[in-house]
Amino acid sequence: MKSSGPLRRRTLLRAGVIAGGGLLVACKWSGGSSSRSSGAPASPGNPPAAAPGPDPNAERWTPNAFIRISADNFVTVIVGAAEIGQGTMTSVPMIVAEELDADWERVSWEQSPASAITYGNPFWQAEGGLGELDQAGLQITAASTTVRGYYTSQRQAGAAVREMLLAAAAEQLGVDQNSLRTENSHVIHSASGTRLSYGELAAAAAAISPPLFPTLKDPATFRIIGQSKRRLDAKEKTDGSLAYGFDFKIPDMLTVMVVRAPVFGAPLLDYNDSAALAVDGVVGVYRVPSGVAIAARDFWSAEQGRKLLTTEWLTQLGETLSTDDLPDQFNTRNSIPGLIVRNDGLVELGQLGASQSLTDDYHFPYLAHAPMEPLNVTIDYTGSRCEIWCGSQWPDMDKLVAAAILGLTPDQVVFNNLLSGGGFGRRACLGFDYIQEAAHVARAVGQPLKVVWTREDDIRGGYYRPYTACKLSAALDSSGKIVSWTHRVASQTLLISPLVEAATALVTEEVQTAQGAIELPYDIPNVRVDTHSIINRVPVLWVRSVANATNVYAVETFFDRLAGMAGKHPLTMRRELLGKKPRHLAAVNAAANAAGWQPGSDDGVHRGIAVFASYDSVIAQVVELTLEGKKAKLKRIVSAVDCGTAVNPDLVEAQIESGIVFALSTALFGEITLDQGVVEQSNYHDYRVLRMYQTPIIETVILPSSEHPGGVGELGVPCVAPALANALFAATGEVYNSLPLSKYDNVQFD
Amino acid sequence: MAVKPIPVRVNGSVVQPLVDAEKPLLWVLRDDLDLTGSKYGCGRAQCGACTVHVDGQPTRSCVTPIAAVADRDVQTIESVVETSLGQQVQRAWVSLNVPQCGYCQSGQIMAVVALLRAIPTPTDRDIDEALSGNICRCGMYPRIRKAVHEIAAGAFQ
Repeated sequence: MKSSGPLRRRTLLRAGVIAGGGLLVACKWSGGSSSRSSGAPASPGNPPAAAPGPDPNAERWTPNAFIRISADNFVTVIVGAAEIGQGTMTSVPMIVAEELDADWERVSWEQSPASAITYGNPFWQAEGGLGELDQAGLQITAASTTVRGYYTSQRQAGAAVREMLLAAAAEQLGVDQNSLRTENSHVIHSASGTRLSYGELAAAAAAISPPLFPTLKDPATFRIIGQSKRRLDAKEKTDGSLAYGFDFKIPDMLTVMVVRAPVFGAPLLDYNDSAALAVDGVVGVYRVPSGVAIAARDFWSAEQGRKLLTTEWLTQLGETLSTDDLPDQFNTRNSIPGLIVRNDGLVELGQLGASQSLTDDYHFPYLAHAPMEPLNVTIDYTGSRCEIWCGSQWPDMDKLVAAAILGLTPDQVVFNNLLSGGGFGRRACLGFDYIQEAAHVARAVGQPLKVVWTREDDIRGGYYRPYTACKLSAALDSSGKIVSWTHRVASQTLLISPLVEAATALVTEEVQTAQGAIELPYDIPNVRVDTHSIINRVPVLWVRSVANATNVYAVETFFDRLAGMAGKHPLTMRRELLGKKPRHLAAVNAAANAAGWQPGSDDGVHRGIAVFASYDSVIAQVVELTLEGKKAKLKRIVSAVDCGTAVNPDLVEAQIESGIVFALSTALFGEITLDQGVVEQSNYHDYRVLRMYQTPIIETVILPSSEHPGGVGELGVPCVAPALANALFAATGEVYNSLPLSKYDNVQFD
Repeated sequence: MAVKPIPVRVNGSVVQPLVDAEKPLLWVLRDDLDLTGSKYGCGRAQCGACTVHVDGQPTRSCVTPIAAVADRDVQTIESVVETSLGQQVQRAWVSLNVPQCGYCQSGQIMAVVALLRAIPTPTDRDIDEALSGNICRCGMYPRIRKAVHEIAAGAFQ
């Protein structure tokens, strides 16, 4: 997602006002029980193994929405962004702890409540006209925005509290504040050798007025930001103790599965539940808008009951497309001009004087997110209030949607966001499918329950990355210079539900499907990018790196074909055409150097490169493979990353590794197909993902930078497949203009 | 359905869940015994998130009927992480930032502990063979491999 239209990133100063505003609201000194709602999971934010956490009974100070300091001198950082694997619960506390000068060994985390106003990501601030929402942003964890969006406001939150603690210490010691310094959660008066812990000072600091514009550190003095700290959520993720949504239980909770339409959009005609109700443990069967819900004592009985439930659907009214028909359909659409989203020079003029030209169509299949933890929602609805436990990338909107369906006001709904077993965009669903369904089921059943999705429900449940076709053309002059470039995208609209109509103002869909095409970095005088929106009823959604994955594949593989026509090495031609893009050029050079790759080198290893920028970051990736006959073996993938300030370099590397494995899954196998509307895949055996033995060596170089942090969660994805295809092209001369590569007979991967 | 008590030793204690003999071990653990460390990921032995040890052997509990483990010894992540080797694995996982979302890690760790018990110094090929049944959608395979080698080298004793 890229913010556009009425939503736009504000200046960093604006974020500062938010932090200051937050500081004004909640100066309090309190003791005793948790501030979380009853029944909420004790958000397991304890530091790993050896380090103890705060005593839950200790008195504590909550100077702003993001920080809690307990009398026993522990700092808890309340994190607004969701954790779906990226390390949010470590990177955000690091930012706060840096400016607070906290003792990192005594810092823990807690997931914030669902509240865009207090905890929304400043990246998504409204430009105006949205009332209180102008003060904050959407509480959505998407578009690789957590660190880059919260960075400044969280620094300011930490810095402001540090200044309050200094002021309190100065008052208590009767000394000038300038004679004090802070270190490891203590205020120190060097002259007298006095050390006061933040915990000791908290009660007095609570009476100090928070500064509106606290002074931030010189990055050169950082001692936490820039360090490869261990994850604060690793211990509970390695001993089975972390309760994901699937694990979370409330008293008297039923387990619910739903039989959904066999083809998208088909209405239910009838169902027969007599056999299902006879299953031991099944307690009820209910008609809901998305299908038929079966409520049972536990997962196993729900599953057994569901198998015996017979349903009848008016499939003719549903979506009956077959993906086999889509290539022709999309090519036909791409044979006519679309909505122009970038237009430099005049491509027709460039084409006139050309001596060579190339045109081709690229095709990319539907893809499922398939996160490890299937979707689930635990919901306790009593008629006048509702509490929800769910791993969500968009908790504030999920909460509002549930409230709307249940006829409640938002403050009658408590939404407890849990750590998710992966997301990749599925848990920030613009169709709000799973939360809507859970609310309807809760109203129908009238008892605490958990709606669970099986893996089959997940793979067949839609909200795929849309099927996409690109038509590229380019012209070269007699010297081999690229003089014109066109890129046309046909992709399904992401606007699939009436509810989403309201969100259209937030996301400009046409631009989104052209991500990675519009940003063509090469110095080419005549460039045109245009798009077509295809409408059908297969629900689609953003998947990690969204349209960058498809458009960058087309751009970067097309580029290597043009380099071949121009008689130039792909590295050489990139260097020639990236003269005006210094960050891209630096990444290309760093990746090639780290891989030990020079034009003309011949060591039996085939290499390909791709480069791309988004999320305020740049990456270049080199894929190395060997080929024996048709048998290809991935050897190594080397990445050079410019992500500005790397808050936690090891977690940046982990995200790049993760993006690479995700991308290899889609490059090699990823494909959802439909036959007469029926999804043909169902589980990991036929929707294959990369496994240990298929994973190459992965090396990542982080380029030094002190710029504002860029995003890395999606950064590692888009270049992998094109760099891989370019290595194959270099080896075989064959063109790979569609994915996945498993469809090609001329190459086989393990 | 035949519902009768089936005696199983789980993490050292004998339990006798009164369940359908066909009910998978995973759902007995999770829903009847409240041991939710073993995860549901696929339900058909494709992803390994449900891996437990049955008489010491890594086993996909999602496709193992409870009757098949009658009178046998079942160990789950909750107890294995308390063993000396389990603690080494946990220390390695924490130290090397192995988990991302973490959902697959119970299964990964159960597979790793079984591997290291059988082969204290595994080769890359041993690791591939022992761990390729465990999917990690976050893609932490290189870190898992590195952690296994470091544990084998004694770095986390």
